[in-house]
Amino acid sequence: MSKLKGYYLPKSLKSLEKEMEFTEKKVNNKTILTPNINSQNIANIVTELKENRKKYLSEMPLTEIALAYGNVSRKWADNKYEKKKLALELLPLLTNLSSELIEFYQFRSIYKIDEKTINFLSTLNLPPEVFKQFTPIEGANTYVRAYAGFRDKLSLKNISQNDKELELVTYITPSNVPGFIESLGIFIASIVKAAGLIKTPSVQPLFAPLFAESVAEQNKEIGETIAVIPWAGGDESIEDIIFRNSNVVSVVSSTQTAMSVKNRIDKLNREGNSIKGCYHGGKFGIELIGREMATKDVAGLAALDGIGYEGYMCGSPAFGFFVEEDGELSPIEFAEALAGEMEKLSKSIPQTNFFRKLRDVKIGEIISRPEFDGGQKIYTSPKNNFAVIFESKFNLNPIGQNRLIRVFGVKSLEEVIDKMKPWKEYLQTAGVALGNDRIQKIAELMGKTGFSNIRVAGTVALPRLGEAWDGNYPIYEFYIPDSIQWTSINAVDFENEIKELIKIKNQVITKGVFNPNLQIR
Amino acid sequence: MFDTGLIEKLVSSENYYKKREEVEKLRHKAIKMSHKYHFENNRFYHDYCKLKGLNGDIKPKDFHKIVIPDGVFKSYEMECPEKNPQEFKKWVERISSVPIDFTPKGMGSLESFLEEFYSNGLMLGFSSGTSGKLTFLPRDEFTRSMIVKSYTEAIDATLKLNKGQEKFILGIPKKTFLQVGYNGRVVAENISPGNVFHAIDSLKADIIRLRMRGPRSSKEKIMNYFIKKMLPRIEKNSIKGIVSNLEANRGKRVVFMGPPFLIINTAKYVLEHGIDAKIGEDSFLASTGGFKGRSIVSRDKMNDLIQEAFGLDPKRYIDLYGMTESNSIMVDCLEGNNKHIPPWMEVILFDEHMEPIPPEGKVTGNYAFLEPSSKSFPGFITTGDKIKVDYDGCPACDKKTPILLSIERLPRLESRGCSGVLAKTVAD
Repeated sequence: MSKLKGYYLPKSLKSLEKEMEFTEKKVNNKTILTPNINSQNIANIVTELKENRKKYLSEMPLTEIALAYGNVSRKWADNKYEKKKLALELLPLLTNLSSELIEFYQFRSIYKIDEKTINFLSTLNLPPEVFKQFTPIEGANTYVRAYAGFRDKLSLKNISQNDKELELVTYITPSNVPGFIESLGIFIASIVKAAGLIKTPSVQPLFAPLFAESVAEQNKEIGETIAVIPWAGGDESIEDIIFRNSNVVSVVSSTQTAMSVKNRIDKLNREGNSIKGCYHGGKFGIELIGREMATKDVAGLAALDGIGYEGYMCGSPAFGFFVEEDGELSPIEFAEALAGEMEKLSKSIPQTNFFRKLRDVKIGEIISRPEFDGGQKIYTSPKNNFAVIFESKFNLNPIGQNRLIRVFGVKSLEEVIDKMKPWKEYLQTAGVALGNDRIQKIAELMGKTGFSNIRVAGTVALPRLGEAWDGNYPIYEFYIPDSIQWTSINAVDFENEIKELIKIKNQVITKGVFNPNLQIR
Repeated sequence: MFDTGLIEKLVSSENYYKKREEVEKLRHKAIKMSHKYHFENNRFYHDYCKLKGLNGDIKPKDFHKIVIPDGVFKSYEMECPEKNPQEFKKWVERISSVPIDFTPKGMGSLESFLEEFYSNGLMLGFSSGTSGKLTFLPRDEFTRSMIVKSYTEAIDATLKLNKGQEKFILGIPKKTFLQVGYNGRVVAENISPGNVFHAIDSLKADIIRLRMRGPRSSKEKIMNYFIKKMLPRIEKNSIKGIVSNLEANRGKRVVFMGPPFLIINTAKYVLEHGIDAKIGEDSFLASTGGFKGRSIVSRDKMNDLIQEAFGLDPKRYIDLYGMTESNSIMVDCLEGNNKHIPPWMEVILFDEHMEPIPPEGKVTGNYAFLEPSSKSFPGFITTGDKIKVDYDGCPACDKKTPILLSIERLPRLESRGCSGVLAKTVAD
């Protein structure tokens, strides 16, 4: 039985690795080893990471870093890459997500971590207009808007003069989007020239070590500045050492975990430490379809958003799909078209039984309500791949996971946005299909309501270069307080973007997700 | 048509001792009959089965597909059913397999609202989660009679009760729609009519809901304050009542049943006050529901306390495992203190991928059951419990049924056993 590392340590920590004890997790005919970390181990790891960072990374030219990550990205885009083959064999067993889903949403997001992305982020300098209106950002197909007070504007102005060195960035990563946040954490740490320490989720300790090994294959020196290890979340004997040694701690997890880490970091900061906490707790998304876009093809893009990470990504449209009346398709026709597209897409991006059964549980609860005695309509799949429910009664209930797609008809999208206000602290992403003439106005309304990521339908689970994220802006959030609310629109020309995405969606239906010619946007 | 004769034949203590294959054949016939009946008479269940591509005829290989989530029984949308009587009735009609041919008025309190349903033939027994959203199970007269029969037959298979002669001392309310209280009362009164002592007179649904979900208005805050003040006294009086009944029956055979925290506190009271409450050595002590909401006392510690306070051999202390959604309980055998799955229930365990686990050897999984004896709702339900079952059966007694080795709540679900409700209701 072959043994795999469920961790990654720099080569300079070889002697420590030999001393550590490991827990074995059997998957298929393989064993994943995860270290049982103690406080002494972690003290050695953070010290070594910081020394290595000083030695290898602090003066490394950005072009060299960009080339390394660009090469990593190209490696993973190759279906024959051994590490990718291994990940696609084992990740479905660890996460219950199908390998096709992992390829389309997780890996295709990683392929975007290339030279262009790194150059963009490393020279980031947003114009002051972002405080007034959605502003196109140079180098990215994105509009950005910032909602802030006077002092926040000043702190943003000063950021370009910020020469504060970051030695260690720690990422605590979630299990719902397996692999993506880990790889993002590794690469963002490198581009701010900090060592990166990644805590993996216990259910899936495999991907991040594979990705870190890929980085080390491309650039040994960067590899010396990364560590990927699991530990029991909340273990203060370990986390206090890590937090005290980190300039930034980014938590992407449940609200409860994020708040628990926040309380601890606030306490450490009161004791004289200077740790920037970036807290990303649980969020729910929504899909808004304007009447001008209520078409069969857009229903297909909405289907892609519903399928993404089986609805468990923080941006997934868990609240449902709200369709304006008086379009080419009525809301109920849109629901039917959505079901048709789900059926086709589910052949290319199949669902596993695990999520089917979870959906069955939720459907049971929903259809036990009296309104299902009339007025509601359910569209099911002959092979139980999804369920689309057209609900006649408007409600906001974030239960649209496991390909349980709930469609509502509405008079206007503005009305829906207004009703989202009580959910402000849980809002983040909206998948949107609108004409170019409406997007700015509605985006402004959404930004003020609390949305941070306005994404063109079909890209909800596929983050893009230049976007805000969860109310913050990547990289900036390491340096400035969280009091600025950042909102982005991930396409400048919505109508054209929708046309391009429909081509990709049709390619997915006809040629599957492992097609090397499938365009990435 | 619901074949009550078939159900009566299945729910019998004799089936604990018959060949498994023989009982399985009978049980499967009853499940098929019950499924067909609910498919034809329950609008929700009909739609649910259709969604899964199933119709009124079901084969055993598809039994795992017909289980419905327990959340169905609290899927109503209103916070207070008694304030929306017509809407709530519509919900009950949708999940129920018997017609509801009266118009509820909703006369003030939740308790009186439930009383209104009851006086019209339908009992809405409940249990609650910590959220305070009550789970309601609609039980018609036949289904209620099956609670009595299932409990009595399960107990009979183990304890050999002297019907009409047993003296019951119950640490549960005499009048309540809380399902665990109701079940204990009707079973005891059926076995020994007029020979049942209740330590608590009544426990109203409104108080339970308030205690489980917390107060939502200033009026409820005031009520909650006074209830909190009152409850320790009620518990103390209950214990005193139980103790004086135990004293009165010193040396005689009694059946003492209640939630474990009340049994423990009664034993402690007896010992602290030096009271002689030693009951007859052929007595039985029964608890159900675990310790939710209270600190847990180990079985060994309980055994010691029971022996010391009541003079009872720990083997005669039996723990019962049941659910609000089920008509049955699993009873410990005296020989090995192993909980036996009643032969009229089909247990299905699901693995972490939600696939059914073959019923062989010792297996652990998420617990679902098929109980064909429920006429007024489909008794095919997935639960929030994870259990370990030994399908090879009991090494200590002659019963042929599988046994339960362990029970744990799945973390995603609320703590919601009936005993948990009682414990939390009276906790400070």
